[in-house]
Amino acid sequence: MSLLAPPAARRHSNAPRDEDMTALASARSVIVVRCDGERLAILVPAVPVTRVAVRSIGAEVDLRELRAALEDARVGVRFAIVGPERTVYAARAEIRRAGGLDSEIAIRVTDRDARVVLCAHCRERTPLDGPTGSVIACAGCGMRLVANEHFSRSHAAYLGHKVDAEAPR
Amino acid sequence: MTAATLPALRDGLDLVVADVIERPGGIRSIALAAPGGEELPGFTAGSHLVVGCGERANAYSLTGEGIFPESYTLSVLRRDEGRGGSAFMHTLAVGDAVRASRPRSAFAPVADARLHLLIAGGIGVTPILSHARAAAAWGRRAAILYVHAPGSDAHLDDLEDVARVAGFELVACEGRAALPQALAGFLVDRPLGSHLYTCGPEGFMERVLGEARAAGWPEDRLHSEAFGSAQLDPGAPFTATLARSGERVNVPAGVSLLEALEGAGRAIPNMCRQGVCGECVLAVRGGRPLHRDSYLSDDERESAIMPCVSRCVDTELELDL
Repeated sequence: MSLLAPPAARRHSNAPRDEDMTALASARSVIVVRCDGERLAILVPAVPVTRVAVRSIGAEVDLRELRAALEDARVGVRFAIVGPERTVYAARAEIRRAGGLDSEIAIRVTDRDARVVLCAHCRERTPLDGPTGSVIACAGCGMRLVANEHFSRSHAAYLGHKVDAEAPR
Repeated sequence: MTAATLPALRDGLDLVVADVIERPGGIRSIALAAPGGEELPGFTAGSHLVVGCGERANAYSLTGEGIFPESYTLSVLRRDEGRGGSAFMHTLAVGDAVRASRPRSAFAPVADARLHLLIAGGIGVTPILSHARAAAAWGRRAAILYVHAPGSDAHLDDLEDVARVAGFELVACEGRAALPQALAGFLVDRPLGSHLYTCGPEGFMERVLGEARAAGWPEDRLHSEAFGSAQLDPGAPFTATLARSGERVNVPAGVSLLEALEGAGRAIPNMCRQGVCGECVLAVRGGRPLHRDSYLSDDERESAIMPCVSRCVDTELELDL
């Protein structure tokens, strides 16, 4: 991994930040999603609470426990997701696929430099432990990718493209 | 100003009355078609049509599902205490020419909802019927609650037809007293991803939305369509200052800002005069508006006012006029 541009390249960014826990206030039940074994204490209202664990293995995420809880989820539920960024946002994407809304999801990210890069060329996902602007080798096609500030909420990943794609030949 | 010059009607459609059905409870259904029977522009469920009613124009919800419509169907409750729009609609006969807007969508379904909860009160059944039919046509899941006055169950038969064919849950109950119990059962145990749509009298919708919030439904899952039959309180008097001319216009209690401006010789484009259509919007330069419309977004409320219904929290309101 090497750094191509400083993370100050935030100017044209949709990278997620500043998440909060306000969604929990109006909960009738809560599903607490602990990512990668994160044990950080979180305050939830006095309503029925279900706890599920979600874990990243490389760039893949084991969402089975969360999926099972989503099967039974009813309107009035709120979600509290806590852990490293790549796993937290993969869990959020799964909740949204099941019909959950941002206003029902509280998020606490404990490690921002835990990302996934989605290759624009072969669509393989590669884990990145570092800031955007980093250059990594794609786990799929081996291309050297620069991790952009362009974040996809549904893929829970940053777009990566060939580092010298725009260099004159 | 005649109805024909209203902006929504200027780019509108010339239609003819193709069918009229009288229903119990003073409700009349009207089908409007193109004069030559051509296909009409399609629309999203929950859309309405602005119809020129003599000197005025009124908005009426469409009851169809909106796919390749051959006619626009709407149902009008006769309100003799109203401003004459519904009475006009009740005089129309087959073959009469009508000027109408194109369908306008302000109460659309959320396409990826897992379940559509449709809750109608009284004549508010019209857009709910449109939603139910569209849900059936597009293979979406819906559940319907219809609260109506005894003997005034317009379109219940249509809802029953849709519910039977599409397999939707349908609960109908008579009288407002039945609402709390019906709601309590209807709102709970709904799958994540459900959305709620309600149309009916103001107090009815307040009740529905209040119960839903109490059951943990977030605002983004709640959708409502007002039809402005609520009586607004007369409000406190204030003064409107017209920033460009420095003119000051007094707005007494019981007189709308729009009426006061018209009285001062200002022609403000307007249509529904009940805070729904958005036609009369004005820019605010100073003073805090007391918003009572159902049109402006929270952001727009920072700098705009609907003078047909809204007033002023302060004693003075400065308008960009």
